[in-house]
Amino acid sequence: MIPQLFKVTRREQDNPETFTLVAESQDGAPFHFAPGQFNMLYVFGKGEIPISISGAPERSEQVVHTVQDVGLVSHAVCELQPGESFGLRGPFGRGWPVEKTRGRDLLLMAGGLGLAPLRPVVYEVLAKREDFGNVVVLYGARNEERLLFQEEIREWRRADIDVMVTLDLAAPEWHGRVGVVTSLCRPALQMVDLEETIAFVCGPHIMMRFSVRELQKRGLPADRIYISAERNMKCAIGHCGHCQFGPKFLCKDGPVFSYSELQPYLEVREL
Amino acid sequence: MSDLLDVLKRHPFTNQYSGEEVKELSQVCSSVPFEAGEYLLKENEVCDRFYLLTTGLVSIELRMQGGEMLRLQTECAGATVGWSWLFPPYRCQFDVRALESSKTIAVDAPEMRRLMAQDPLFAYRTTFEVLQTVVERLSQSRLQLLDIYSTTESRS
Repeated sequence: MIPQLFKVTRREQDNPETFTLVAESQDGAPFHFAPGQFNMLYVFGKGEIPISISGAPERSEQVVHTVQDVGLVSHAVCELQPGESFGLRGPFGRGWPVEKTRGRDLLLMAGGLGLAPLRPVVYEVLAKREDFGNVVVLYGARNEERLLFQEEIREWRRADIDVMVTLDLAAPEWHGRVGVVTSLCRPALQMVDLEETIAFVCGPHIMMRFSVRELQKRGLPADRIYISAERNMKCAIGHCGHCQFGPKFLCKDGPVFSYSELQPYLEVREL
Repeated sequence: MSDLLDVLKRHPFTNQYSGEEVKELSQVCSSVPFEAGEYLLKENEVCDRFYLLTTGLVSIELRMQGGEMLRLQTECAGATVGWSWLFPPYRCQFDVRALESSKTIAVDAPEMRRLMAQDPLFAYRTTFEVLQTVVERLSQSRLQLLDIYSTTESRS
């Protein structure tokens, strides 16, 4: 529960509101995590927020977070400069079940900043590409300016990962796909073996709801669809109850769940 | 013709059709390729055909005042483009333009309406397929309007 001190070593601006911070533990201890887990980041005098880890699991000498500047604390995190320190608790929670996907086809569906918590999964795939079947990444963003990790996406394509990108709003000079990310499900599911595919979905709540519905409509069962749920994580160890969702504590039991686990509670409007 | 029939059988538009109905449909179809930049349909022109996309990428667009173009959606292989052929006044609502080299099956709309008038079951299945496309696009357009990736998005 006590934050460890980390120092920012690199800060990159991904888009006008989103920054990726690379940090190292001040005591030099390695940082191990599983894709989909999150940390609690503490900026002195500002507060603490949960942020998913967006770096490569095998790079234990560093920890990477991609943060959108939307509130007081996230703004303070985004403002951290190389050399500055912050507190970190973690990693917490249950991540993506990457082991279950070895030998099978994998569909990663991301909306907006939801690509960040899925990026460690891509790194795992890239580390041992031959262990996985067809891997397809579907990525929807608001507009071209908001696209994350564009240079990396080109590298993923070169490494035999199919990446389909779509924008909700496109300028005339954009020659890629336009439309919501759910519109990619039909062509994407033609590229995988539906009987052997597992899908990981991450993004805004509405995006995940409609994406899951679209995947189910096209034949993917709920127990092979995983989503990353997030709500008001505070203590991150299942004690405070802020993130309780039905009988689940999202911080401890999640944030990643199979859709079949969460479905009964997602359908209760009052929750 | 047999190549065309094979392609038609594999296209999702014919999922509801019987083998005989696909053959009937093939009588009013032709293969039409488009190069990037070519128009499949133009706004307000008589919609005397619609297209089943088999490869490539096309864009549904709206020309704004001053000539600026607004790209609304794109469609790829497996999609059906154009539904204004089914409803009076049979005029295209939007431009459709190829963004990359694309292969299509063009369906002759007046001939299709004639076949539908002769065979209510064929007409029902065709209307069902067209409505599926309409419902899908309407649902996607509503989501687009929500601006779900605005700065209130959850993961930050």
